[in-house]
Amino acid sequence: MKRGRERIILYAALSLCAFLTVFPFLWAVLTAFKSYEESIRIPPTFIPENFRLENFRIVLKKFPFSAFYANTFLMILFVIIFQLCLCSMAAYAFARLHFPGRELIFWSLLALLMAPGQIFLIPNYETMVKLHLADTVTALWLPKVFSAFGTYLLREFFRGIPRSLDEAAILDGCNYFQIYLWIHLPLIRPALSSLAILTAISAFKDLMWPLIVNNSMDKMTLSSGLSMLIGEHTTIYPQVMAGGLIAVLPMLLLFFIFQRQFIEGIATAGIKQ
Amino acid sequence: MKKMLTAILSGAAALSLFACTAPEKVGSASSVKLTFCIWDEVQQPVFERIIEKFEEENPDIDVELQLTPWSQYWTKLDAAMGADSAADVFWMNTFLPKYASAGLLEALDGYLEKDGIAMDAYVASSAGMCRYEGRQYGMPKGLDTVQLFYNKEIFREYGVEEPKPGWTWEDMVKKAEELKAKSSEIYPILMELDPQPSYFNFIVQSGGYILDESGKKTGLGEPGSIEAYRDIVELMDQGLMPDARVLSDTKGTDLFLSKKGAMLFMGSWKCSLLDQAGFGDQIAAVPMPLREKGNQSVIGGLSYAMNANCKDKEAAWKLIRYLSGEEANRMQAEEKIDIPALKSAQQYYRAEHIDTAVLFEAANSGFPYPTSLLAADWNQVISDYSGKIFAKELSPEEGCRAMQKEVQDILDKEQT
Repeated sequence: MKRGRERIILYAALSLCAFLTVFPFLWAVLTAFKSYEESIRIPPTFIPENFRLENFRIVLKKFPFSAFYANTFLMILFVIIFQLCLCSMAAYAFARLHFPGRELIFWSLLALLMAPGQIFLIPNYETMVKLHLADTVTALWLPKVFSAFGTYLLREFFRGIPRSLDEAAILDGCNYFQIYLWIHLPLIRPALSSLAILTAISAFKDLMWPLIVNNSMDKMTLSSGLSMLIGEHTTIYPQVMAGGLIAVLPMLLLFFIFQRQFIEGIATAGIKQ
Repeated sequence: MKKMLTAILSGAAALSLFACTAPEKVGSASSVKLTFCIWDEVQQPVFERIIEKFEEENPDIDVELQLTPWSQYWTKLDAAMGADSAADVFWMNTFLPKYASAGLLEALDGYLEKDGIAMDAYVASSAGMCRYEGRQYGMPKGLDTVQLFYNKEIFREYGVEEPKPGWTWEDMVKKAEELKAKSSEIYPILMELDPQPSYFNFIVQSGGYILDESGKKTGLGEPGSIEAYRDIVELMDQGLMPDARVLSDTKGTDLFLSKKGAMLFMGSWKCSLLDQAGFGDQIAAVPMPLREKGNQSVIGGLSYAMNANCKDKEAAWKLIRYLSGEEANRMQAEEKIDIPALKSAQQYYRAEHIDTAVLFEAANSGFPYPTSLLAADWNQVISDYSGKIFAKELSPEEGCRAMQKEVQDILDKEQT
């Protein structure tokens, strides 16, 4: 009996939390169907008076969503591939190899983490212009191929691997690269997937960089393209929400497919093995 | 797993190839390419039409319209200027002195003289705003004025007499008190607590000033300026206007459009919203109430500026001349985008329900939005302190004294 009551309380608390999490999203979805006048009405209406599809039509006409999807997909893919390769190699070197100045280099790398990202905006932009890459899809991902955070994260995981494994591998005739590739990488797979997920999320969310480096509408990512719906004085929120919904649907689908990996990836990021 | 990865990768490679080789827009071989950057999404459709017309008249010029949202516009402009890849023609606002003094904008005086364009065809304060050290660095686009809008239905319902031109601040307070006595449901007075639609007007109307004529001295600590802040806080204290907390949660305009407010101080740049209200025929405009030194409005507005490093300046000038000419102004006016700064095009600006004469009158008696080299810096100081005054963390006297000092420090820095 007592267990039953505990259960009820637990479920009530969990439902409340779930509701609080879902509510803003629900609000956004419902707003997408409202007229502008209804969206700013006070007191606000929750359920739209009538479900109008007009906002979706306007937004789909205004933006090249297929280009947005393609650019976002390419950007995320390249960022993940390069970050996993470069960060894991660097992290392995910092964790296992002995070379002069290793600590100094590592700590100066970490100093990068302390600098706010905006500092790199203008230098990165100038580099892209000099490489004749401004206003291209390549510019979206090129400056993001490496991160100090990823290196730091993976180094911590590499350091957690017992050295006896390395010794055994050396006895079997492995060189450093083979140890990295055959022994260490498979062991830190959870860390790699968390890094992939975290980089993908941060690349997806970044709207400043695409807007700075690219001019053409068809070279924008989903998030930066949508931010163009924000007007100077007035923002037609139902259109923003409609655009947001179109942008987020495929991501939601991906999330449901990879839900397990996603949650495990984030959960393991904090655990040293 | 491996197969899937290969498939994804090759797909991506194909996509990126496609992205790289996508055909460039075809134009005639000898065409000049210009880029033109704006920040307001709402105005984009009109500008696309304007550019289409321009290209029809100038088949050798190909204009690409770029949209960068307001919150990224200035960062992008700075970055692009540094890398010499900024747009050829772009929108400018009160930040003009900063860019003009750095030599990043092309002075237009030579072109104006050559084409015989007289700046007195434009409203004087708008033309003056894009002048810096005696030279014209931009062509005025439109102008914004501030006036008071009221809901006739509410005044009728509660039997309060509607505001009339020539009314005073005291009249406004009296009407607000009458409305408040009859209904607790509505806010008698609303405004957005930003400088332009609110306190910058009242400061000047009370005999204070933000910058003096030389632009080297601020008068934010003057009695008139303190008076303006005190009056706003008083409206809140008496419950005639929602307090800062409510106004920062919900925009004054939104409350007004939801029929929750009787009177609203609002800029002309939001006029097109009123037509969306569904009760537009119940909204009327009236000049702001008179304070001690008048009821003049701050006038803001944008201009078109040319990049000093632009490759083809003749073509860029042609575009600017077209944009600031009669035809382009008419198209914007008809869409109620902007009140044209070009006087001969003002006739095309007609609002559906409100009396536009009120707006033009405010335009003629108004004063330009103050600006200087470090305008962005001191504007920030003013809006920070104003926020504290309205939230009652500081008294108007304390806030104004602190603003006076900090803004003056910034102005002094400009001189060195």
